[in-house]
Amino acid sequence: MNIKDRDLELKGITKKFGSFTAVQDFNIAMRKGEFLSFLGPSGCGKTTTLRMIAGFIEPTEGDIFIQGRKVTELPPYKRNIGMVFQNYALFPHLTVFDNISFGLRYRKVAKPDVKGLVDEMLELVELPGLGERKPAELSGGQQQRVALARALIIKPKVLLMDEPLSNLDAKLREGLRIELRQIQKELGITTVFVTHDQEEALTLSDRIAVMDQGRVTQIGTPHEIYETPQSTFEASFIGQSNLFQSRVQAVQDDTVTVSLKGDLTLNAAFGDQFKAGDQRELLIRAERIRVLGKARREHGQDRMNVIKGVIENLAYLGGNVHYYIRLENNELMMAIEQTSDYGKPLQPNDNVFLEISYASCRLLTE
Amino acid sequence: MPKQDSIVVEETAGQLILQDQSGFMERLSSNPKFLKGIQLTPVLCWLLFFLITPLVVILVYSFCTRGTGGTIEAIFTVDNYTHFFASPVYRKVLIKSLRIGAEVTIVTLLVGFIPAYYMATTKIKHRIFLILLLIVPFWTSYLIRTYSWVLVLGNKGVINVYLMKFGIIDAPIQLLYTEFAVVMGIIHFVLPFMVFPIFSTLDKLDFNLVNAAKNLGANNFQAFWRVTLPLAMPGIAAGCLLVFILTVGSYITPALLGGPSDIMITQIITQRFLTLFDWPFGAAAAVIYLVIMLLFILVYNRLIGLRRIMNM
Repeated sequence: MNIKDRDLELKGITKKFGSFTAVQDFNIAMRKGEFLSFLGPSGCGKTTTLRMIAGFIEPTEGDIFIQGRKVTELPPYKRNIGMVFQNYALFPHLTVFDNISFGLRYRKVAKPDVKGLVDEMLELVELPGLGERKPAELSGGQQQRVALARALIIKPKVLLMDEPLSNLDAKLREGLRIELRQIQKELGITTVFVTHDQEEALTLSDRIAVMDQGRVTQIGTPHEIYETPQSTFEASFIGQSNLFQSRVQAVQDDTVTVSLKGDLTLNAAFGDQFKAGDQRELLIRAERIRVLGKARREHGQDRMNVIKGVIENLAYLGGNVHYYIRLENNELMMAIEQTSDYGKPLQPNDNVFLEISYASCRLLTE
Repeated sequence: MPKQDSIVVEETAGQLILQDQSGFMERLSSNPKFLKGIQLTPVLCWLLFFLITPLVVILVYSFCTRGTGGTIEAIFTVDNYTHFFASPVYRKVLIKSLRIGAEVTIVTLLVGFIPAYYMATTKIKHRIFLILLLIVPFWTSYLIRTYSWVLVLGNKGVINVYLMKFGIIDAPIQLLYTEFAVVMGIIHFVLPFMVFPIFSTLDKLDFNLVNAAKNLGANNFQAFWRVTLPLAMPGIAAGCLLVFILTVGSYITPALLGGPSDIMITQIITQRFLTLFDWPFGAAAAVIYLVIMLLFILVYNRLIGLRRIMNM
């Protein structure tokens, strides 16, 4: 990326609390208008990094640049960053109007203009006319929007969001998620979004930075992160995955044949970098497995693995079903299938055939 | 129907009706209002006996006349009240008591806010130690604590001795038996009553709000002024109310540490009752004091709202 295009940049950001390293050597450059998610489990350092960008915590090492300007030493009130907190952090003693207009007082906005700007913001977040309410009188979703309006009205250079949707129920979360992204696109603000919800990250982001225990394990587009996870951690964290210990038996072109426990053999694609004898983990995405009562193909036909198993358990989720299948080598495999109107539904103790394409099987590099 | 059954079931047109044939006592004991009354009665009796009755007695005394030799004559008079307001001495004492109350409240607020803030924002282990520091003095008798000020402020007290030692003064300054000593002694006592409510409110404060304010452009002072302080108001209001009432009503401190011109309203009342055997006048003074404090609370409620304190 050109130096000119770097809207927000982190160089070597590290944070240590005594002997504990919360964030280790975080490097990233974002272009203007980009929506980037920090994705990872609790304690991985994503919120700590966000707070360093905001200026609430000082990094132990490293620098932060906004539009080329070093802001590492600047206090939070000089950075012109907008932030939406996880619990919204709305001022409970102020009305919605005063909450939203809070930041304008420090930006030389003429008194008569304030009302116009606040009304504009209320329209943008679809809360017209609620200016005189207090935060306690609003629902969670409404509070979230006020928090967003409050952050955007100051026209920040960067927008930071710390798990803003975690406290909302599923339906609301989905709706607000889309609205959020639309507003962000409309305004073209560079945004960093912290979440532990991979679905959120995958839906919203231009790029995702996956974090684990203070380190960034991978940065890529949602497609890259899902299809080509670099490590076991990512593979298990993103998507529903089955991971098996396997040993490479043979490699032909880019197809690699591996054997699992009990000599159960499977073929995986994209395997040209491996050689016989390698021991790696085999990743099979649960969503890519077809569970059938009768075999349609032979094992190896049409570049499909076909193996046998018995349904031990299933979880009915309405739109799809999670099957827990005991394979011939006694290992357990999880498969996710969409429910359908035709065909007899499968039951526990049924014998089934699992069809998994070669491309849906992937050997992990580390 | 057998008499001991209280519930009788009859069939009427194919439908079962439950008929209550219980007696008066059974119905009474299941009436919720009655039960509530039973539960409140002990408390009400206590209040009646120990609060209402003494107050009424004092009120009645205040309208009686003082007989020769200190008896109480049952002759109705308002002289006690008129005498109180007519005489400049008593007026001045009343005003002084209120003034000292205001002074102490303001000073305690300014002095007490900082420790409260520090305690609310420091580590847990540290915090427990600091709370203990505040509470431990209460384990000592108040009389002795107040008396210890004599050792500090007296002519041979710590301050005077060291000031003379370093040659800053030649003769000891009169610190004891002054209004200064009284104010110091009272502040010493009431400070925890200011610190604890403020600490309690600040403890519940979400300091993310302060971060949010800073993020929006407020510097440290502005964030404090617009976010922390307004949200600490319930604690501040509670602390101020407590301190004011305790200060105006303090007796031991002005009696021990104050000079003859530092008399406060409580001493007037006690003097009248114990020394001069003028119970009617003492009672009138007590009633006046009580009424003024009640008026103060009413005004306070109007301005600040006691409800806010109760929701702390």
